[in-house]
Amino acid sequence: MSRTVSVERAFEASPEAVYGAYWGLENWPRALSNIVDAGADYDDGVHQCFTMVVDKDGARETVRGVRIGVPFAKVELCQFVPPPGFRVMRGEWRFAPSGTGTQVVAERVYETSDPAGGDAAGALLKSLLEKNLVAFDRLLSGGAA
Amino acid sequence: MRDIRVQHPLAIDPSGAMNAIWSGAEWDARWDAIRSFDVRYDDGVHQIARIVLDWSGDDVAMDVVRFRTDANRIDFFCPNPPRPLSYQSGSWGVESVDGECVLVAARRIALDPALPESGDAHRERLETYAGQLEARLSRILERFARGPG
Repeated sequence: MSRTVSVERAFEASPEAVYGAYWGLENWPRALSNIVDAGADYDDGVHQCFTMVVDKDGARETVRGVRIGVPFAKVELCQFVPPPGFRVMRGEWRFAPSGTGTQVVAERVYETSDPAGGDAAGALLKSLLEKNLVAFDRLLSGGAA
Repeated sequence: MRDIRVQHPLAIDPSGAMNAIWSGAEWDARWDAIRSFDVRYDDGVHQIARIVLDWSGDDVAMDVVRFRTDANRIDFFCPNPPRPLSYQSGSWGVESVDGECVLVAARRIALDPALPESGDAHRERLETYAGQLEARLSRILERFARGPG
């Protein structure tokens, strides 16, 4: 059975800037120090097939998936090669204007290989999503990753 | 880029038509140009497939990523479009047009520009392909708009 986790954060940057930062794969290693490499095998502007190499405690993990952009409202993600321990990993970032900035919601829908691991996986995903939002907010604010 | 839109009256409930279009097995059963429809990933919202189909006597392969945008619409793009296309994306959907429920196929296509040809010749080739694709989409919609059998 699939579960959902979501976190949100207020960004000072505009929805256009936040959407652009998330869509541009070149920004990912700049925002998150554990992303070793990120690139697109296909990108027509609103559809992407991407690969990311992630450092996990010294081990390299390759993440492959597709992203679908709805400028400047949403970036949808599906990891068709889910991370170890997961059967399904998909989700989205939603960008809503809020004053002069943007309210960003990061959501993941997931299924764990071991159904008993759902709660722990959810807590881990929530923590990672919170770090993700902080990292991109800092990137857009001109701060260091 | 060339946009195409084809529609056909829908005789069955919308969810039945959309579920059939989502199903690789239904494509195998309903459209004889399908040589194979190999679903490599499907979480119910996103689907990745390698499709081989007959086009004017040739087997052509395409990789397609399909995703449900709502209950009555499936969008897609092709990381590897079928030759001679260099780009293909589109959607399948159910809409109400002039009070009638219709099944709609929309496409955006571009031809591979690799051939050395004039602009007029390229446009003529694109229009010819688009006409063939419209005719094919009409037949596909007819198959999926009437239910199984």
